[in-house]
This record gives sequence, C-alpha cells and structure tokens, in this order.
Amino acid sequence: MRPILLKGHERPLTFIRYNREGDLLFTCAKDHHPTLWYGDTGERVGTYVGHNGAVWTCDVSDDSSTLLTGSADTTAKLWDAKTGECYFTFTFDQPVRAVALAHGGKRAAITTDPFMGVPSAIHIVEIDLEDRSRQTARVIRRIDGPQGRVTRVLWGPLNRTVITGGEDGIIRSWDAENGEVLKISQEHSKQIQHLSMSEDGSHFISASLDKTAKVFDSETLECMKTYSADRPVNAAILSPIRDHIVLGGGQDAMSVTTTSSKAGKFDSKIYHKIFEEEIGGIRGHFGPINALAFNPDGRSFTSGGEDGYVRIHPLDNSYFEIP
Amino acid sequence: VDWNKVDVESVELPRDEFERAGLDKPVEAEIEELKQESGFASVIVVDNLPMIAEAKYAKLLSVLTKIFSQIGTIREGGLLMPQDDSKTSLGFAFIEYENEQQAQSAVDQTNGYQLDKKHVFKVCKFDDFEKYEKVPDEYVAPPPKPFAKRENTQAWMMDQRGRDQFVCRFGDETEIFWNDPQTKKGEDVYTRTHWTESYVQWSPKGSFLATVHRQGVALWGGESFGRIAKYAHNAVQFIEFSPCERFLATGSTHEPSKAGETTQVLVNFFDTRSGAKLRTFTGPISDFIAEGQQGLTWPVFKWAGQSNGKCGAFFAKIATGAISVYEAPEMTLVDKKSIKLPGVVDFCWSPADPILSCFQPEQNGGNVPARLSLIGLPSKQEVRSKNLFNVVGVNMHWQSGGDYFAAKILRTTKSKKSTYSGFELFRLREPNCPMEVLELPNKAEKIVAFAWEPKGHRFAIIHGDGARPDVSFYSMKDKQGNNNCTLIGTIKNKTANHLFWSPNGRVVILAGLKTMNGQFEFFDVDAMDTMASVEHFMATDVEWDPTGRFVTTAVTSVHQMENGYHMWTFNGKLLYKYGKDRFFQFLWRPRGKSLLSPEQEADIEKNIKKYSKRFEEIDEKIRNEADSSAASEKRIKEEKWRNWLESKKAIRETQAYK
Amino acid sequence: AEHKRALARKVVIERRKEEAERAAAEKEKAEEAARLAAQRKHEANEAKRLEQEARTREEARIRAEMEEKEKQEALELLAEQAKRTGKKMTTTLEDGVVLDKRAIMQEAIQEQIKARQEQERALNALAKRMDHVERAKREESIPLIEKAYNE
Repeated sequence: MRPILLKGHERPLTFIRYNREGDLLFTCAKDHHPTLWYGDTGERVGTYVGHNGAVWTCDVSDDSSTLLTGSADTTAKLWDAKTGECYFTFTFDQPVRAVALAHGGKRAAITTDPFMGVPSAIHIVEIDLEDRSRQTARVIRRIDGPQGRVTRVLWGPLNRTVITGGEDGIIRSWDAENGEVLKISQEHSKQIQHLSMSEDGSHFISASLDKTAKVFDSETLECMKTYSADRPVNAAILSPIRDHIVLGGGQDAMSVTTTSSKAGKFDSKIYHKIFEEEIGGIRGHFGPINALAFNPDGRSFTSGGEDGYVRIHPLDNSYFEIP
Repeated sequence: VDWNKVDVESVELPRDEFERAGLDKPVEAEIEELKQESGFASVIVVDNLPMIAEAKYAKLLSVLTKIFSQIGTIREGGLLMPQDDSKTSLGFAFIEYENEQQAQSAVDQTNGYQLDKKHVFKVCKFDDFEKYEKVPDEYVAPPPKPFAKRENTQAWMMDQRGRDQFVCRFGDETEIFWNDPQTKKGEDVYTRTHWTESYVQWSPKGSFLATVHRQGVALWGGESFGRIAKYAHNAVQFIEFSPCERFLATGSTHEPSKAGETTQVLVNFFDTRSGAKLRTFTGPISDFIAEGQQGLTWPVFKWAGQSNGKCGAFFAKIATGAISVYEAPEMTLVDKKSIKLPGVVDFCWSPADPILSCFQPEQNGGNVPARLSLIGLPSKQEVRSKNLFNVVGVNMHWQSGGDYFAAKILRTTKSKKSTYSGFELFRLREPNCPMEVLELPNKAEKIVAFAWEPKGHRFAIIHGDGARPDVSFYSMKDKQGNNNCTLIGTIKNKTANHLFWSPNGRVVILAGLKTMNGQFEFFDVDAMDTMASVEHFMATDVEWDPTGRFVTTAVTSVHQMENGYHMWTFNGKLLYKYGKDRFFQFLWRPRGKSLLSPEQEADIEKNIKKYSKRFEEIDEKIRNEADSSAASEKRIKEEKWRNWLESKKAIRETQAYK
Repeated sequence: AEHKRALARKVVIERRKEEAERAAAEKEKAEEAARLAAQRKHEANEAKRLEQEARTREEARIRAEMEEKEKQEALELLAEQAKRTGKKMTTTLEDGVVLDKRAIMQEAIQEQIKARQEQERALNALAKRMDHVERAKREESIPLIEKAYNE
C-alpha cells in the first residue's frame, strides 16, 4: 500500500508518538512546534505553539487529554492535547532531552542534558491529570545521571524503575524511589538513540549508533536478541501484534560519501523478533530515519526522517501473509 | 634529549612486529640472528689476495679501492688490509660499505674475480665468515630428526564435493573459506589474525598461500595451513611466482639515503622448495626500467608461459635498449647476452610458449619506424614482426592458450591533430604466423576495453566515447571455420567499462565499475543474449572462480561503505552476500592442470549422467539437512522465547501496579 | 342628434380603424420578432452543427491516426515476433482486418515470458552440467593426487 506522506515540519523529525487508541499521532521536530495529526488519514489537526527550541521528545496520557513535551529550550511543557493550550511549564537550567509518563500517568520522568558543568539528571515529577490547577513544579526526586547525555527514558515494570539509555551506550535501570542504580547493561558500544517498551512491559528494544538494535528483559536488563543492521540505528520499535520489529537509521549527512540515497541506507527494515532475521525493507526517506512508532493496532507504522517528512506506512495483506 | 620530558609510551613502536605477523617461535629466533648480524652486515671479507711486502702495500690498496668502489661507496677508513709484524700483508682485506645492499652486490659481483693468474678473489660477507668460522672442523652428524612426512599441499583439491576455496582479508583477519553453493554460504576453513603485514597471494597452482612481512615472505599450505617455507628479504614489497611454482621472485625498492643518489632495486630469486636463494639482482632503478620510463612497474622480471608442464623457465626484464632473458634454474643470461632492441618500451610473454612480444617506438625522430616483434626463445629468432607508422601507443594482449596475439595500436592522423585505433592480430598456430589488421567501423572511437575469450577464438571490445558505449564481439574464424576475423555482433548502449570472461569462455560479464557504480550484465556470447542484468552498488572488483561456475563482485576498502562480496552463479543469480568492514582482498584459490588424460576427461563427459544422479542426491541431502537443522533451531528459539514471556506474565500478574 | 350619432360613429369607426391598424402593426412586429428569433435560432443551430461536424471530423481523424499508429505498432510487434521466432509473416494487411494491438502485445509478453522460462531452463541445465562435469573430473583425479603425493 502507498505510504501517506505528512508534510508539516520544516526541520528534521526527532520523535513520534501515537495515543493509546492510535487515532492521534504526535510528532516532534527540530522546529519548535510539535504537531498533531489524525493517525489514520494523516490529516493535520494543529500545532502546539510555545517552545523556543528544538523539541526532542513527547509523551501522551492514556486518556489522550494531556501531552508532555521536552525541549532544548530547557523546559518541559504540559498541554491540553485537544485545544493546544500550554497549561504548565517545568523550567530547568539545562536542555530537556527525554520525558516519559509513568503507567497511570501520575508521575513523569524528565531527563536533562549535562550543561555548563552540571551533569545529566533524571527528574521525577508528579502530574495531576484530574485537576490541572493543582499541578506544581515540585521535583519529588532528582537523580544525578551518568557522564554524558541520557538520551532516552522509560518507566520499568510496576513503575518501580526508570530505564535510561545514554550517550555512553550503557542502559541503566534506576530505583524510582531512592535513585540507586539497580542494573547496568553494556551491550551497546555506541550511543543509544531510542528505547521502546513492549505492550506488556516485559521487554524493550534499543537502537544504537553501533549499527544494532537489541531486545532486553526490562527487569534484569539481560540482552535477549540482537538485530544487526548495516547502518547506524536511530530508532527501533516492536510490533504490538506480531513477532516483528522495525528499525531505521542511516549514515548521517557528514559520513555519506556518495550522493545516492541508496548508499545512505535510509529505508526502514523489518526483522523477525525471535529469529533475528531480516524480513524486508521499506524505502522512501531521503535522509536518515530519526523516529519510528507503531500504530497500537499493529497495522501501520510511522517514520520520521532527517529530511523533515513523516511517512505513515500501512502494512498490507502481503505483509500479513509473511509467516 | 632530556628523557624526563619524553613520554616514552607515546613514542613506543607498535607491538612486536613478529607477534603481529603471527609468525611462530622459530622465526623469531632467526630474526634475532638477523638483528645481531646487522652490525657487520655491510662489511665484506676479500680473501685470496697476494701476500705482499710493505713496499707494494700502497699499490695493492689503491687497486682494491678502484675495484671495490665501482660497486658502492666504501666508508671512510673502510678498507682494512691487515699485516703481520714484518709488515707483510696477510692475504685478505675487510671492506665496509655504506649499506648492506652494496656489500651484497660486491659479494655477488667480485667473488671469483680474477686479479691475476694466481689470485682469484674469494669474497663473502663478514657475517658469513664469522658463521662459517664457528663451524667445527670435524663433521659431526646431526642427531637424527624424527621423520615427519610433509603435508599434502594438494589435499584441498580432493574435496569430496568438488568445491573451491578462496581467501578474504578484512580488518586484521585473513580467512580461507569453501564456497558452498548448496548451503549458500562461505564455510570456514582457516582463520588467522595478523597473518600478513601487507597482502596475501596464492601460488599459480594454488599449492601455497604467500604472506608478506617486513623481513620477507612466508608460504603456507597443507590441510593445517602450517608454514612450509620462508624467504628473508628485508622490506620486501612485491612477489612473483614462476608459473610452475618452483621459483619465487621477491622485490623491493630502496629510497636513497642521500640526496642526488638514485633509488636502488633489489630482486631475489628463491627455489620455493629448498628455500635457497638462487640469485640476486641489485642496482640503480635505471637498470630495471625502459628508457624514459618513470618509476618501477612490478613484475620487473616476467616469467615465460609454459604449457609443457616442465619446471625450467625463462624470465626476462627490460633494460635500456634491450631485453635480458634468463633461464631458471641456472639463473644465467641466455647466450650470455641480452637481446638488443633499441628503444624498447614494453614486452609480454605468451602465456603458453617461450615467445616474447616486444614494442619499440619510433627512433631517430621518425626515421626508424616503430616496430612490433614476436621473438622465440631460446633461439632468439623473430617469429614475426611489423613496422608501424605514426604510432602513439601500443597495448599487447595474448590469448590464454598462446594461440593468438593482439596489439591495439593508437595512431595519429597525418595532421597529428587527432588519434585513431586499430588492431594487429597474429595467428601463432599457423605456419609463418599470419597477421591481420582490424579496424572498427568508426576508427576514431575510443577503445575502452579489449579481452580475449580464454581457451577460445573470440574477443570482445568495448568502444565508444559516450557514457553508454557499444560492445562488439569478433571471432578469429568465420562461419565456415576459416581463418578470417569476423564480426559476430555489436550490442549498443551498454553500461560497461570492463570485460570479465569466464575462464571457460562463452560467458562474459560486461561490468560498469567506478563511475558506472557497479552495473553487471552477464552475457552469453554463444546465444548473443543477456542472461541477467544485476547491480552491486559501488563494486570495485570482479573475480571468476577457477572453473567458471561462480563469480564474485566485491566492494573493497577503497570505499567506506558496503564493504564485502556478493557470490553469483555464472548466469547472474545471486547465491549469497557477505559484508565486512575494511574488506581488502578477495582471491579464489587457483588450481593446477587436471591430472586426468584428455581421454579420461572425454570419458567422464560421455558418462556424465551416471555421476549427475549421484551428485543430485548428495546435494539434495545437504540442502534438506540444512533446512531441517535451521527449522529445528528456529523451533527451539521460539519455544524458549514463549516460555520466557510466559514466566514474565506470571510474575506480573502477582504484583499490582502502583 | 343624428349628426351627433354620425359623428360618434365616425369617431368609433376611426377608433376601431386605429385599433385595427395598431393591432396589425403589433402583429407584424411580433411576427417580425418571431421570425428574427427563429432565424437567430437557426443560425445558432447551424453554427453548432458545423462545430459538431468539425469536431466529429477531427475525432475521426485522430482515431484514424491512432488506428494507423496502432496498426503500425502492431505490425512492428508482429515483425519483431517473427524475427524472434524466425517465422514468416505477411507485412501487408488485408482491408478490413483489424489488428488488436493489446492482444498482440499480450501475445508478445506471453511469448517473452515463455522464452525467458525456456532460457532459464536451458541455463539451469547448463549450470548443472558444468558443475557435475567439474565434480566428476575432480572425483576421478583424487586417486591420482593421492598417488602423486605418496611417490
């Protein structure tokens, strides 16, 4: 089936997120305006205006009412997803890199970059979805992060841990209560670009510049599967309905020696999750893929590229005939 | 130097080079010896001199100085002729040269020099002298060594499934594989890290793999890929086996230490089996290149082709206005003199016979025309020659069986403003070696590539000036089988700049390398039809296996991306791919001629059905086994994953979310 | 009174006359208008008809051209086919014989597919033969290599 091309961002995409039902699609880019689209048609609904820097990440509450975004302008913002109104701003002294709402939406983890001598940090804040007027900026726990950036954050099983991936290629799980490091995994040799949790929370997938994606046990951080790609991997996602994964990435503009878009490896690749074998690929982008997200119904996924385009890829019958 | 201020760590040389070379202990011990030698390596001992009194001492000294300073520069105070108490000389002298090479050439050139009737120089390296002195006068029989049978270097030729081997070099690894078309992968044979310091090369019949190190060359082979021999040659750069594998030439160039001096060339010839150094050629670079040539092109010595399977061989090098032909194993100049060919710039041997093709450009400002000649050895008789006019350049092409020879001639028009091409074709198997001229319909077109069909009568030419040139096929025989060079056909607008014939002929790959990004057309010349058009993006190399059943295309490390090779069948079907970063080399292991008689071979072809049935059964079984083992592996993986997922579910359900 | 009546009648008659004259004039005018309208309508119809005719002619021309082109292409296809198969063909077409280009193309494609499959089969057979001959030769030379080694 033909992909749906979403034109709206003028700068490279950074992050893509579906709501729980899959009817809404949130995209973040280096331009300052996160954008909302209809998940099925790709029609643009509107933008969230308020950030003054690249928006690195976002998360949406289960009831689709509230959007949390994090930006290089050193703020994380809470928005009314429907009206586009920013109703609360968390202000930090460092650029915000990653955000994640806890299961149930009562808490959020916000990571900040190392900046002016201050190391990276993970901030746990409380979110009040019931009564927005009660929202405060209070950080209930500030965890000093490792050397270098924390590039991604996820909540672990039962909200007991937060799992982070870093510039150092290390994946860590932290006790959300006391901020202690519980587990460390050094399976990746280069920067972690993306982490994405499975539906049931038992495992998650990582994407790294070391040209691999890996699946980890979300409790023990044991590496269970490895997918070798022939390009740096910027994003990797798990199919919610099949034992497949999708990864994307590509040589960055600096190291692409030829002009051919083929040489840059800008296609998304589908692998078998259990057998770790490549199944197929979907071409389209003119630059590296920076972001991927599966529609929760598992029948389409969306990619966002360095080229500024968002593409919704419906998966057709021939895909579902693959064993 | 204030050593306190120097960070020794930072200037330390890389890890021990022998360790890096992966050579084992015995070599290391020998290298130690070499190192000890180096202090006196440039000193020679001249023995058998006249013993003379003080009065004649100065005279002899000046004679010696004259003789030995012709060969190299004698260091200041480097000539010592000891005398006894009565000031009578002792009959020998020490001479110290600037470097070891000069010392070596002095030994090579003056040992046996007749000074006068009574006195013949005995010259050796000082180190050798010392070595021999240590030898006890009485012969002591060495303790008997346990008899170790040498491994069979042909063992790989006996693969039950008739597969071929190849070697790959990537990163620090050198790995040998079987090409396995049934399981569609390269099956590991042998791997070694840091096996070579620069490159590897198979010997012409595939018996040995040569590795190249700073100290010299090592040969490996047999089933265990153990070391079979080694040849010392410091800073060796090039190697070249004789076609029969019995001789090995190693070469190096040495930049001058002082400005104003010329680059020196050193070439050693070894007997591959005994390891003995048979002869050394050394001298300034000008002794090894044609007049007016810039820089050295290896091989400096080219081996003559051999179809009779004998182990003697001719080899030749170009010199100013001459070609010097030597004969192995004697390593002497044939007839004790070179073949005079004024102005000669290039020569080639027939791959099958001792016949040289030589080209001499115009001499005397055009008064003597350019000349193309074929010269037979050892008679040095001209087989055929031709004078040529207005020639700018010549490229020589021998057909693999030595049956035909083609020279591409680039000429200028009378106005000298433009050039055009033509071919001179020679039939070596016909009496008097008849010759034909071939010109393309548009002779002003650029000739991009020319290639003979191996073991055949045909050749292919890529011609045209544009981005999509044409390819023409010709046969040396017409439809009736007569000796007439005939156009078979021309195919237009091809993305091709290189030709790769299958070693069996019939199939040729029209390859678009470099600017054409890796386009390949597998072409059947019998049917004049394309079998497949494929792409291997940015491919740099094409290599046919020795049998013409398979062919590889590879991207080597000249590109950063997509390094590795693709394995194809002869008709352009992709068998499998292999990717490795920093991919340097891919070489199929060559095979010697089959030991079967032509009658036996014909017999096999006649009864092929009998074999076919069995081979198909074997292949089927292998494929099924591979399939079923892959399937069961998958089953196990899947079961393990499901069990794990189930165990996680059980844990999760017992605990409530916060 | 009589005179008055006569005068009145005269007036009445005069009026009727006037009335009749007016009516006649009106009628004439109306008829003229109707005639003009009819004429205009006729003219418009005529123009339309001409235009229609021209268009039909043009369409017919284009169709004829396309048919001719199709015919040519079909002929070319047939010629190509003939060249490939080596069969003879008529290069002239009888009048009234309509060549269906699509059918010919379909046929040509089918033929090409068949030829490809045929080539594929032949090549596979060749590949197998090459492989088996090579393997058989190697197998037979194994004892010879063994023997050479042991000597």
